[in-house]
Amino acid sequence: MTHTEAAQSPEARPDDAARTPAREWFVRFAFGAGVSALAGIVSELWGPKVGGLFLAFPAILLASLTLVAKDEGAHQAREDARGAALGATGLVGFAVVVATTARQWPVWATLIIATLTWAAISGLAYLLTAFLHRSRRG
Amino acid sequence: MGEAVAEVALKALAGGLLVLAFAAVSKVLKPERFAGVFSAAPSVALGSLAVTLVFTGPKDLAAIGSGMAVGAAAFVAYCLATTPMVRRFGAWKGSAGALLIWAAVAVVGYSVVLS
Repeated sequence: MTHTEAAQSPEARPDDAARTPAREWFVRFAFGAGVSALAGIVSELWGPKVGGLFLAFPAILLASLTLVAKDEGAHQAREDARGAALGATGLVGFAVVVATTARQWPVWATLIIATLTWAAISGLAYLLTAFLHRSRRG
Repeated sequence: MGEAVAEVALKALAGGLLVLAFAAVSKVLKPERFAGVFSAAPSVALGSLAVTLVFTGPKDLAAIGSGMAVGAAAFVAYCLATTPMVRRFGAWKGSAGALLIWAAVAVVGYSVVLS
């Protein structure tokens, strides 16, 4: 990954999903189901606050990095991790919205606003890093 | 007991399916850094919260959110640690080893903020 690539505007390539082997989808599902079950068990045993910790356990990223490194190389895996750092920043915003509004707002409004908060923070953080890359290049 | 098992099983199913949905979005996006944003999407959280609502209602949501905020801050630390660790140790060992960073930040954050 070069600075030029990191500064690219986002684009969609639908054919890439069609070429993904079934095994890779299964691995991702298994990691997602495993983390969700772990968070559920922890919540049952030690309460919702400790269970909530595990809703942000990075096992899915671990699976993603390993798969990306195998298919596209270590450079791309590191780019995946850098992007995930931006998404995780948005995840803090998601959790703060849930924690602060769940008692006052209808549940549907809490979850929609929390998800939009994640998208807004992550998206803005990505655009900011892409802008900084372009500035450094120019 | 049976209800708790059913709740955990449904959380696993919902979390797995939402991870697949966000992974599908991630797969079609380029560049890789932008696709990586979706590796930290609230997929597991949305699935688990939806099932929690069905079984116990909204009473635990605020507590779950506060725990998740600490976990997400630890997730940011994990991502920042992973990049150099993947370079040094490779994808599997580097990203698995960085889980210790997540655990350390989560434990300290929980102790300081939530307990």
